[in-house]
Amino acid sequence: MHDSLQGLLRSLDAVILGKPAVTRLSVTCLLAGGHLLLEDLPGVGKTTLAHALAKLSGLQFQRLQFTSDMLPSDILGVSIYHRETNTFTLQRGPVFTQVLLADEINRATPRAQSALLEAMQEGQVTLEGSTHALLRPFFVIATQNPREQIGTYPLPESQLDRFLMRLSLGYPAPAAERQLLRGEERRGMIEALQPILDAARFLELQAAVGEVHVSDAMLDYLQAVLTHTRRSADYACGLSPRAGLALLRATRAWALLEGRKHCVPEDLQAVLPSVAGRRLVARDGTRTAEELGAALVAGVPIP
Amino acid sequence: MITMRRETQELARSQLWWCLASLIAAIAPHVPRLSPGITACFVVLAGWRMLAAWQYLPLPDRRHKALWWLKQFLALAASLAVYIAYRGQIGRDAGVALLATLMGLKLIELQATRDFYIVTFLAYFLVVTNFFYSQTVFTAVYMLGVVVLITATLIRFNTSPTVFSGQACLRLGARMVLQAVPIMLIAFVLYPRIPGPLFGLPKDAYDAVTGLSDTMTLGEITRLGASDEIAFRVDFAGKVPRAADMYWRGPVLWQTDGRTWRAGPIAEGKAPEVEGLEERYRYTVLLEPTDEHWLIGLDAVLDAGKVARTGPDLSLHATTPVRKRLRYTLESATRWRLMALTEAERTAALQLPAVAHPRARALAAEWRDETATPRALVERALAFYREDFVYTLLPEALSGDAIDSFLFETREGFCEHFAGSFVVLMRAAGVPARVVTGCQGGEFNNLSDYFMIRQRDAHAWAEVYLPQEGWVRVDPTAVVAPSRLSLGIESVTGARTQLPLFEANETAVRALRSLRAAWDAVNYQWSQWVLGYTPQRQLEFLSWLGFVEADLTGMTTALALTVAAMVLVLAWVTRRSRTLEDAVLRDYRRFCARLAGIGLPRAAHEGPLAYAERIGEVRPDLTPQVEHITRLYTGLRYSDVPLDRSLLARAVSRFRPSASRKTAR
Repeated sequence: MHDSLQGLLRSLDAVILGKPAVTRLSVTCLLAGGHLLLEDLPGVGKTTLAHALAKLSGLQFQRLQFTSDMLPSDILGVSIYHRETNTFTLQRGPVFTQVLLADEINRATPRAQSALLEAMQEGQVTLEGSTHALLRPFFVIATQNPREQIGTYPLPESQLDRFLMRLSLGYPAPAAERQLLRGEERRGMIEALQPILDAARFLELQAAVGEVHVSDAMLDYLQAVLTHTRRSADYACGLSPRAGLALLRATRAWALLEGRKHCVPEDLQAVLPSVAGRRLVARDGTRTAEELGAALVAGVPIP
Repeated sequence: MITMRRETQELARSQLWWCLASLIAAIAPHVPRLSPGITACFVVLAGWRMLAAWQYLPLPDRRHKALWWLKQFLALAASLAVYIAYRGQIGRDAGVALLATLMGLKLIELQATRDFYIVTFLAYFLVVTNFFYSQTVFTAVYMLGVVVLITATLIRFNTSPTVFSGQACLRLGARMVLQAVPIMLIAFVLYPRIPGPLFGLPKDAYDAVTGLSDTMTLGEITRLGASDEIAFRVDFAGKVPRAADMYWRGPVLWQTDGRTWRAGPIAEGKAPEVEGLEERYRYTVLLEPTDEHWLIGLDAVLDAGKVARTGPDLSLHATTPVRKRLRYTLESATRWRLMALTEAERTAALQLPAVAHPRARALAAEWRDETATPRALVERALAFYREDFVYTLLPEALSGDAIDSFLFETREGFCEHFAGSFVVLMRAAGVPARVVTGCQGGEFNNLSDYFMIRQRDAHAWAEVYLPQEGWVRVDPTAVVAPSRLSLGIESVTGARTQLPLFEANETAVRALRSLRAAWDAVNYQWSQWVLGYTPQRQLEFLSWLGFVEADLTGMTTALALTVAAMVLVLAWVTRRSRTLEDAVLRDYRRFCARLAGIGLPRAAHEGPLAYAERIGEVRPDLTPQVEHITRLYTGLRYSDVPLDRSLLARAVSRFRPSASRKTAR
């Protein structure tokens, strides 16, 4: 089991050069069964990452470009009338897949956004009065561009909470960029990738995450972190219990990825910035999510 | 990351080695009992699995359709082969063979953790099957070891090799098995015993017993002469008879065809009136399985209680063949009088084959004419033997008429030659006579105060009926080789020559003998207290403990209550685990304080792994110790793997980092 995870990471790192931390966190996010928000400039490899993840995991993949004139039916699907048979059949939308890349999610109207976010939360969609279950596993990897704010509809805090992690890729390091420039075309590489997992194996792995042991000492630490965010003067508001659960899930997934069957404080520290950073609001409002997360790690002694 | 990958592969492989090792250890004692084909089949399948792990050869799973079909075929073929090899018998042997084959097949589909568990738990079952064949101390000790190994295998599945070495797995396994001992003992004492073999073994379970039989063919006891195996053990309650008086009576043989002696129909009759003279002895016999109906007792048994039926010739008969060690108490007198002789008995005691032994008959007729009384006749015959007969366990082969050939040509032999020919002579002279087989003598075991009688103590003697005295024991062997009786069979066979190395060394021989006695003492206690713990003894033991009217319900309730009490005590002990955890933290803080002492304090938010890594960068010389302590600490504090807390305390106590970096490298 651990073998295939390491294989997955290695193949991913061969495509996404010089970003081992981000690829690791993205795999952690999917293992924990959470949705992933990639926040970055265009052209740093967000789509490549999402596509490679889907391909290596052996999951179905759909890409959906969000635009301001998008309607919920463009995402969920629509019933079409057939004149010959005098019946309606459901034309399933792109959401009926296993990995959905929602590109530039902040370009769509809140109405279209909430259609997707509801599907993410419930694992099912309701169309014309009937309920349709989505495939399992189901992941949304959404991207958004933080710079261009004109004509966009930023996701509200409550919607952001639907994503387990928020990651940014950032510019590659010079050496990695050199390799990228010399190397073959990414699209071709993704085409050539061989799936390492399949849907069944993936669900197995997700189940294994739930079996990673969390000791009382570990829970003490997690609670100390939560309490710190609620009491400290640095944050406008602390982490919610839902955030605590999300943290725990991500911690377990990270431990599994590390090949352990129990969590240690380092696992929590590794996922803390990407899970909790964006959920925290700094009182002075100047610091980035990563900085906030790092400060949080440094601020809580391990009991 | 690459190193991690290798590590996990090793984990999967090491799991396989453990699994295989426990399986092979559990199956190994079966190998001599299995048909060679079955063993070969298991070896081939286990070899396939090992090669597959080594060379990444394919296994018969769904991805390899052809192999998968091969596996299905093998499963069918193997079951069929077992069926044919054991001729369709459904019994212990066939069952074990089938289990061994299927275990081999299971090995080749061993991939998922679930399969590992199945195989490992089946290995526990294999341990049980070994007791179908052997219940010796050695088997028990070996199987206990195997149980430790299997338990360690289960621990290996559930721990990371970085935290838990193989040795630690074994140690923990042994500890867990030891911790189970109290429950084991309670279950042993209180679990309601079932009379007879637990699993209702079929007939083939008893095919390997050896020993004296109820026929005597000239030349047969020789085979026993060399055997050191214990035939039975005797524990005298009070006084002990003299060695020369220790005649252990077995089957009495009446019928002869000139070469072979048999019990005949007389033994079926009723018990006669026997009168005990002088001392009476009470003793307990522990008889090894013989698969025969007869029992053995000190000549002659006066009171057999309900253990056995006494025949008219004082032989003892049990209702069922002795198929496991049998323990019984008897009362005997070494001087006794038996006057009864029915007409049928007289006829049987004078029976001779129609035309055999012409020279013996002639000699007997000559004696009858020369002597006045049967008593004088007996003396005359014994004088004849005293002349120039030789006692040897390796006599010349007898040709033609066995008795005549022995009496007049070879004149060398051992007890059965003497007893057989003596009875022939007596009968030819008109004196009723019979052959008695059994054992003579016995070796005293100082360690546990009992006598061991081995197969090579087997003996045969004669009894004649004299008008005023009744049945009288006559042992012609004693006339020829008196030391056979007073010093035991070793004095005449030179049993020491079996050990050429020690030939000249008296002390070594004595040491060896006392060692053997010690070993037998262990075996004896084992049979007395473990194997001999029958329903009867269980009741005795429980009433000794104060439970007089112990019945099935009572015992089951007591068992449940005791185990429940133990679990409660355990729960109470583990309730204190919180304080134990605090102790773990205290040890770790001590470790951090030591490092702070050399200028490497741990930041409050620094995790143990990150801290260890940082120390490793600054002080590579400390790495092994630091990593070891960190591994133990994280294992104790953050994992659910059972670990010995004292390991951490000890490691931290030993950890004395020097302030300056060692210049070794």
